[in-house]
Amino acid sequence: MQRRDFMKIAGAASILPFLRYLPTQANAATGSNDVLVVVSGNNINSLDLHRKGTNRPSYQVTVNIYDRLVKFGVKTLPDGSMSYDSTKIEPEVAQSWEFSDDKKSITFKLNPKAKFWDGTPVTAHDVKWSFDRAVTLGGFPTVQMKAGSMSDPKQFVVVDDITFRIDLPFPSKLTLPDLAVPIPFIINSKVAKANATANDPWATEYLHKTPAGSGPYKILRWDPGQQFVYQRNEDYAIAPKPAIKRVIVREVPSASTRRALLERKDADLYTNVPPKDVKEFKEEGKIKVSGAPIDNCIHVLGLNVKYKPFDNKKVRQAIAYAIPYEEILSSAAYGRGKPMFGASNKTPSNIVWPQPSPYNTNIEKAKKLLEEAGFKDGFETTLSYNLGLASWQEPTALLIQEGLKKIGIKAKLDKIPGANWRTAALVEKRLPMHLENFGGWLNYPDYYFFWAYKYGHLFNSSNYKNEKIEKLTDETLHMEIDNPKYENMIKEMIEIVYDDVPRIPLYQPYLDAAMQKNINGYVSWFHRQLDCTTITKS
Amino acid sequence: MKNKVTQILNRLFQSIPSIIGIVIISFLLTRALPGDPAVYFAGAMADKESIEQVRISLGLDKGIVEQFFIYVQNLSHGNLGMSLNTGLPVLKELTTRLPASLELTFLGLSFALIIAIPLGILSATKPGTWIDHLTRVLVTMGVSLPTFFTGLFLIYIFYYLLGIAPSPIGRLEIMYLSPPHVTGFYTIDSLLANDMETFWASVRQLMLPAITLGIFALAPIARMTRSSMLNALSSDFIRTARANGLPRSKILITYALRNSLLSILTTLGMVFSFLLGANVLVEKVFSWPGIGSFAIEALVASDYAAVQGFVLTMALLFVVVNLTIDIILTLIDPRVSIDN
Repeated sequence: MQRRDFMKIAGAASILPFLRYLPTQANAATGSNDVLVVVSGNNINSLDLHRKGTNRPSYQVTVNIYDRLVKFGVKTLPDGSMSYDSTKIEPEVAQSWEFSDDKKSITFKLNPKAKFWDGTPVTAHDVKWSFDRAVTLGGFPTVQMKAGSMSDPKQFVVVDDITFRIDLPFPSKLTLPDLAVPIPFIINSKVAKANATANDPWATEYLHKTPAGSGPYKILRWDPGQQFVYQRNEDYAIAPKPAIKRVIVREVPSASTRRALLERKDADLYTNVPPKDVKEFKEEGKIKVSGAPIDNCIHVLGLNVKYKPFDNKKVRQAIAYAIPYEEILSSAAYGRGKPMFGASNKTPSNIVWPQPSPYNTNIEKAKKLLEEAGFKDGFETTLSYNLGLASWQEPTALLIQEGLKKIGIKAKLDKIPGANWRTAALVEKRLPMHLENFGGWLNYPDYYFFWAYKYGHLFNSSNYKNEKIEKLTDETLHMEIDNPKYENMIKEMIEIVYDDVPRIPLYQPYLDAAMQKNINGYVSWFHRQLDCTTITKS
Repeated sequence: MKNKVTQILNRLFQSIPSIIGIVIISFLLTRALPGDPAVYFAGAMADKESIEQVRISLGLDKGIVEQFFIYVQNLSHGNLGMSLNTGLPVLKELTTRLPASLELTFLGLSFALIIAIPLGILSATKPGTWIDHLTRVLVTMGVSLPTFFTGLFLIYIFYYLLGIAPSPIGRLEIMYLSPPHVTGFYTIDSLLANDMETFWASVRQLMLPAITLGIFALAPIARMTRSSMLNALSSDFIRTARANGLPRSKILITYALRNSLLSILTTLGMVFSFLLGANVLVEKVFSWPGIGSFAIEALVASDYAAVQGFVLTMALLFVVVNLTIDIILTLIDPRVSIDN
């Protein structure tokens, strides 16, 4: 969008009090069919995902206003909810792509119909500039690009205006899916460069507030701490235009207020609904709930092997048998989770990830294991949890404390404020027993293992180290899944970590949204943000 | 009069050390917050390297003394730094959010005054009667109900069940645009722009949160009115006035209330500062984009610049309120001398 156009729209909006055509007694559900009112508990802090310090809720802006080379497909789950499909990669700006024979480079042909908001075509130069920016600016974008083996601007080659090539140091199954995550979005490099300065060559200050993209939506307004508004890009040509013309996302901090707004029909959609509300909405039947288990994500109890007696495998297994799994699932998660316990066999029969561990609640077995480990009378320890995630971690911690008491382990609860949590749990890795959850964006077991089980890696908050796992993870990480060796190696990895249990799986959480009955097309995404493009209102 | 001018100047001068103290303490307090902002803001998957990059870009790799001097130097240019949490300069956040909080607080306070002063007077003139008991019940309720509870309760009744109140989503409902910025008070700005529709819309949005705050602020004002009125009514000059056969209303309003005003005013200053703090929960419940919700989010994220800016503003406001009250007291009461 050009500045002048933007001013025109903003000007028109300020003369006509905003959206006058909605009935004054705002009743979103009966109001206009092309305006969607969303309530969300989070505030966004930037319109530029590459910028340092951009928070997670802001990712949704990138998802809706920018395009990537490729995107994931969508599938319908047995209960009718829709979810992204990690196995299907579809064209977005790239019309087609081709791997070289040695699989060490991918060549993309761009769609000539792809246009930025200012009408100029999306070229390979723009793609290169955007990718260079992602690998250069540092922080999360750079780390995420590295997961797809992309870390050096030299890897991105402009062949001609509509042909773009990525060279890889080695073939990897992760590269293509990593291009479909929110990070490698394509920026209008001409606009960005025109607004760059010597101190800020990547135009982070400009793009922070003024996006320059080609996506299906533009940003019409952003009132920090209050709301932001998407306006449909009427010239979008590379895919069907979204059904909703304007999406208003209001930031409402109190969960009970969000719920009241939805029930009073003043809002159409409520994202990231707590499981308790989901349960009640389902029982009352007036509000529709749509959600899916979050891929590659598990809530776990971490046992830090650096601290005694968690260095003893039998102690860890004893704890895994003492956890009241069913109660956690029913009263901490309100039934909104997939059980990750009670597998019938110690050896996994498939490579589905995450999959249930072979543990269930068995106090006798737990006592016996603890006795074998030499802790007949139990011991004392602390169980830490994150206050920022108290809604599930607090009840879970209390239930685990109860369970451990039965085998003589006295666990003192230790609440850690959200700001301190990352430092304590993930960076310094100094919490002996703690609740943790990690979900990998790329849906492969080995990707999860890379972050959560490899020694020294960020989400390995248990300081777990196993030579076999190190080796197997490295070997499988970039291996194609149709490689005959892959399945056995993954099975072996799962068996080892479930035997060692440095992380005791509890359940796989859901990501849920609640909406009026006339809202369709909500899709649950791995990045856990709202994608407005598929939503319709009847 | 000349004496009063020197007194006022003297009082102004006295506030300078408090301001210097505030700057130092706000800086040190934020450094004492738990959590490492570099880790927090480096993002979900940050590794050691990117955390270090963030630390350097935030200037947190420098020594604490050096950081302090940079902070003071920026302050002198009116630069309060960037809030990482909202992605905007702290000064801008404060100038847009402070009016929202003040508008709410003023209205809440006025609501409390309108109810509390007559109540206090009535119960002082008729101690021990049903009206006195009623006041006591109201006052006890006001202090013992947490503001977020009152807020949620009012939302439940007036918005959810009855549908009279507008949706609790901040200063204006979805279909309205904020009036052109002059003072930042939506009610005043919309009147200045001669936009009655927006004016009423913003008044409607203000009602429930202001009543919530008002109920909370009622107690100290009513109590103070009652006790100082009782005090005044039992004093000699009232007896003399009565003996002289002056009308009852004149005795009550001109003599007793005027004399009680001094202590009511002092209480008011305290209640005002107190309310600005109590705002936090009310703002959260009503999605009010005020300074309180800003501060809470900043605290949770160890957002140094934002927390410093907030503490500094609140402390300055506190100093200014106390200063104003003191000056008013000096002007209206010949007995008050600041020196003692």
